[in-house]
Amino acid sequence: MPDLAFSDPDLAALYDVLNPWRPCDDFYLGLVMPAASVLDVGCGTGALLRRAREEGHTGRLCGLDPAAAMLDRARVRTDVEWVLGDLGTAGWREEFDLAVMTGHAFQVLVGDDEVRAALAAVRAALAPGGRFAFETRNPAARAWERWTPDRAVGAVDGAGRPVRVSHAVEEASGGVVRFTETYTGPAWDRPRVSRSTLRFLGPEALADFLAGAGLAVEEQYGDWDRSPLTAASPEIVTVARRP
Amino acid sequence: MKLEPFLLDILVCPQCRAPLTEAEHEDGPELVCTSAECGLAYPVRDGIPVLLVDEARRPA
Repeated sequence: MPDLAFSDPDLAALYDVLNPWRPCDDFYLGLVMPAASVLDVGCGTGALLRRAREEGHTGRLCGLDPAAAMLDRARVRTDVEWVLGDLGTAGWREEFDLAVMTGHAFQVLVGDDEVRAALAAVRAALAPGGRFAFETRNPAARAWERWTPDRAVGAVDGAGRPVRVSHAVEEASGGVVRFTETYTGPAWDRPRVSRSTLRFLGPEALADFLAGAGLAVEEQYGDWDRSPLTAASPEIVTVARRP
Repeated sequence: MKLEPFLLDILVCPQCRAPLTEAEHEDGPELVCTSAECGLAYPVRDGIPVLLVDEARRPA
């Protein structure tokens, strides 16, 4: 089941408000535009593929997400193929030149088996020479230590109502972080709490999983400005290629 | 609204991974699992295939 933040229509409607177009989206759009066929795994509200179409992409664009409320936002564009499901809902046959997992979607793969199955499916979906681009937060930067209630952010929803969103970590051990995301505001009679679990894989473990799936790391960066990956980098941005 | 042929080619039943075929049901279009043992029918809502076992209709 998708986390409440993605399965609840009110919270899904807030996603694009809380996550406007960012440098990470420009990074991915730069890969999407020249690729003839693109699979967006965990496409959410579909902002990346919608933008690609708006900017004149004429190839095959396919967005996959398990959360209906998020795809309800995506479907405003009917010239992108949206599928409600996950990587296990297709018998991939080398259809795509590019697969992406944006918005730290890769981190929802918690178990080793989940990571391996997802990477195997991505590889199967890629044509020879096809690329897989994704990012995962660098565990060395310990982002979860800043997911504290005192850092709540405010926003205004589509109906003009104020919303506050705060995070609290319940458990962080062994590279797996369990946390809550709490939404409060006049839209609800009591706070809405979404629970999530994310895995933080370091560069070495990530390299092992990619190699195990038959994907070769082609580019790796520590942030969206394409700066080199260091211990202090916030992100591990990876572009891997199927040989 | 017809699905893109390439999608129909690659989508499989999330329960048993058999191919799917397009069909019409009284509630609207569906993708039906071609396995005789499985036969789950997945709704296509506003053109979006809903490939979730929990949302599938069991064969009569």
